[in-house]
Amino acid sequence: MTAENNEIELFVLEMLRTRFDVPEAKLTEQATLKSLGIDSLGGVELSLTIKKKYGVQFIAGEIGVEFTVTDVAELTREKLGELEAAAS
Amino acid sequence: MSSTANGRPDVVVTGLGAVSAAGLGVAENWDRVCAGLSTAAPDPDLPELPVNITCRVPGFVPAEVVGAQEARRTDRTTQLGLAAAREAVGDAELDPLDWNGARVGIVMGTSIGAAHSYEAEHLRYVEEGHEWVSPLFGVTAPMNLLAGYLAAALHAYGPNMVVNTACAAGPAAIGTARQLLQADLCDVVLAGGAEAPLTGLVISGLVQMGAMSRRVDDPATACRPFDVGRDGMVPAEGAGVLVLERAADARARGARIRAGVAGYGASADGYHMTAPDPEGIGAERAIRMALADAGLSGADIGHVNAHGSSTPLNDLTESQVIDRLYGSPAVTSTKGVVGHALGAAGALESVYTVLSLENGLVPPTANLVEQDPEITVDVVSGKPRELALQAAMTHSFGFGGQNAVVAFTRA
Repeated sequence: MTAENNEIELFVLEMLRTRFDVPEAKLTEQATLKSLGIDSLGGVELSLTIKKKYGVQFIAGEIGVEFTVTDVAELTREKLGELEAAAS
Repeated sequence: MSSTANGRPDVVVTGLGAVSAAGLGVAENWDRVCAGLSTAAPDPDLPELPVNITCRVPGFVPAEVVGAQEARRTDRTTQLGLAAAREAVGDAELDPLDWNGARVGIVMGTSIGAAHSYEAEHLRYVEEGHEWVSPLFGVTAPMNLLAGYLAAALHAYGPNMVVNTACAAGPAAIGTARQLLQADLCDVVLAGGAEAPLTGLVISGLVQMGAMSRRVDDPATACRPFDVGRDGMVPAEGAGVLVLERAADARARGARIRAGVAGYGASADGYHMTAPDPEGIGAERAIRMALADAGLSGADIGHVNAHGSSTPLNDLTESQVIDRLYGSPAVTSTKGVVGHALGAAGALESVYTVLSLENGLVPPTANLVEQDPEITVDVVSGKPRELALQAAMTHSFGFGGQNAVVAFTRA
């Protein structure tokens, strides 16, 4: 599956809003997870929601609390690229 | 008096908190318990079970206690425990933002622990696979988190532990907390128990072993301690917490002293994993230990808040022990109203025992219509009995043969 443009950013923001109750006003692509009140366990939870949606694997701690929403999306895109490369 | 018969510092109760099927808060609990109205009902969350009578806490919203995010990171056991602990701290007029947290301990009892978390994640593990198990399971499942979480929530940085003696865990926690105060390891200890065992797996197990009442045609009368028609326990959820301090400290800060924790006794039957010792020898050892600790004789005890689990064996054996060791105390089992909250039961019953001493009032045993003719102790039924009390005992006996009792005295 190919994720277009900022689709992954939008998905991560959506997860942060709905699963982690982050207030709308704080939600930007530049916000770090830590600044949104998300700790390392929260990072693992977030990685499971991404895995469910995009099928990419993370190891515990791979999404750090200093990651911004953009960082999370880029890591996900990178992993998707690897998946596609492996499949072709 | 500021020291016990053994020369150790007196310990007193300065705060109470309770959450049970009888309500959220001590006042609601006491009203319902004194009304003698059972809370037992078919469990709406367990419709698939043919025998499903339980006492569930009504109107409990975890997010209101811990917040929506923390609600996912805590088992229901912890959520109930925190609600009761907050009430107890407020009742004691203590402020967690103001106290010296390093001198505040927490000892909580439980039996099964985080039943809901185990069940939900095990189901996910089986149905969806290992890679979908929640990373939060490591913080929701371990039963020590019941006390650990309360430490963070209440800024209590002293000795912190969960004691597990099954249905005797509440008095075991209170007894342990009292020792921490007597040893001067703490200035304040929150002691009690919490339990949220109403899951399909736990209830199925209790039904399968024949421990639960099968009176599904009339659930409100299923829990009937000491009654000739009793046929088993009714499991419940809840939490009770008491704030304990040394008497001298409590007086120095002008605290309202609600009762003395005069004596503690504990023992093991070492007999059978579910049936009580037929002679009640283990229970007797715990009671004699508590009486000696309190410097009281059996005749000094005006009221016994019994284990009274509504099982055929316990209630008979316990009544024989009461007959043998005390004078003629007014006996009640508040489980008739709130059911059997396992590791929280003895903590809730300690709260009720303190209220009995304060109010000079022994609640009735719900559903005691026809007392078992083999049970000859004086069980209060119908309506609460006014009685000037100086000392009262609460009994808790657990699976595994673990027994713990606490003697409370009027403040």
